[in-house]
Amino acid sequence: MKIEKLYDSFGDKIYHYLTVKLGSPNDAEDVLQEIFYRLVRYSFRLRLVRNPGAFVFKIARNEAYRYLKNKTRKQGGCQKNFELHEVIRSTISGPKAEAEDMVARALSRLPDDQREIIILKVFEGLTFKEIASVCGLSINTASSRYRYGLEKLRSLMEERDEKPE
Amino acid sequence: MKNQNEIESFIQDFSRKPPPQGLREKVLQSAYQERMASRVMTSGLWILLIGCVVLACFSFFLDIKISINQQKRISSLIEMPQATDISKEKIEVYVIAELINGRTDSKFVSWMERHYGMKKKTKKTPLDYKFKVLMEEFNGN
Repeated sequence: MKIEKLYDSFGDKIYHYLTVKLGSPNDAEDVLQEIFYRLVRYSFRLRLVRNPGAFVFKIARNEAYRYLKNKTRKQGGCQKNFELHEVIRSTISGPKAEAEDMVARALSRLPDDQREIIILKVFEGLTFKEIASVCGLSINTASSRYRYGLEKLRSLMEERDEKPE
Repeated sequence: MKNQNEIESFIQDFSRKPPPQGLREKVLQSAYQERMASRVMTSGLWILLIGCVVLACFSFFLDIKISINQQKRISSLIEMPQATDISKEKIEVYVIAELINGRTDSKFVSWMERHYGMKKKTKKTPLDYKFKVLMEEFNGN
C-alpha cells in the first residue's frame, strides 16, 4: 500500500486518536509526522502486513507512549493535562454544542484505558479484534473494557444531568 | 439514558472534526524529505558494498590466475628427468658422454650404453677406470 493511500485511509483517524491520547493537537501533529516517517522508511514491511489499519494504529499507540515518556522525562515528572475535555471537544462534532460539551467532559473523566477503547471503537471505527491487536489485549478484555467504559460514561453524563444549574 | 445501547447510539451521533488544513501535505512532505536523506545514505552504502564485492572478486580471480601461472612455471622447471627415475648406470653414461665428446645425441648415448653394458656385465669396474678405458678407445689407442 502506498503511503499516500495509507494516509488517506487512516491519517485523519490517527490524528484524532493521537489528539485525544496526548491531549494536544501540536503533539499529535509531531507524533503523526514521526509515524509517517517511520512508515516511509520501512515501507517494504507494509507489504507483509495483513491488516494495515491495526498495524498503523499499533505504531501510533507505541509512538504516543514513547513521546509521552520522553516528554515526562524532559519535564521532570508527570504533567497532568487539565484541559483534556477542551481538547476532546475541539475534535468532535455533535448535534448540539451542549451535548458536545457533555460528552467531552464525560470522556475526559474516564480512565485512560476505557477512553482509548471507546475512541477507537466509536470514533475511529475499529473492530474489537483490531482494538485487541492495537492495545495488546484479548478480544474479550477489549469488549468488556468497552462495556465498562460505556457504563461509566452513562453514569458520568447522568451525574452531570442531575447537577443543579 | 437507561442502558448501554442508548448511550452507544447517542455517542455514535458524534463524529470527528476534520484535521487542520494542509496537515496531509505537511506530514507526507516531511516524511519524504526524511526518506530522501536516508536514501542518500543507503545508496552510498550500496556503492561501497558493491565496490567491496567487485574488489574481492577481482583479487580472488587474480590470485587464481597467478597461482595457475606459478604452477605452470614450477612444473616446467621440475619436468626434467628425476634422479630416482634414471638408473645410476645411465647417469654415468650421460656424464661420460658429455665429458668425452661434449654431446648427448641419442645415437652416441645408445652406443655408450651398449658398450658400457657389455663392460658392466663382465666386470665391475670403478668409474674413473671406465672413463680411462673409453678415452683410450676414442683416441684410438
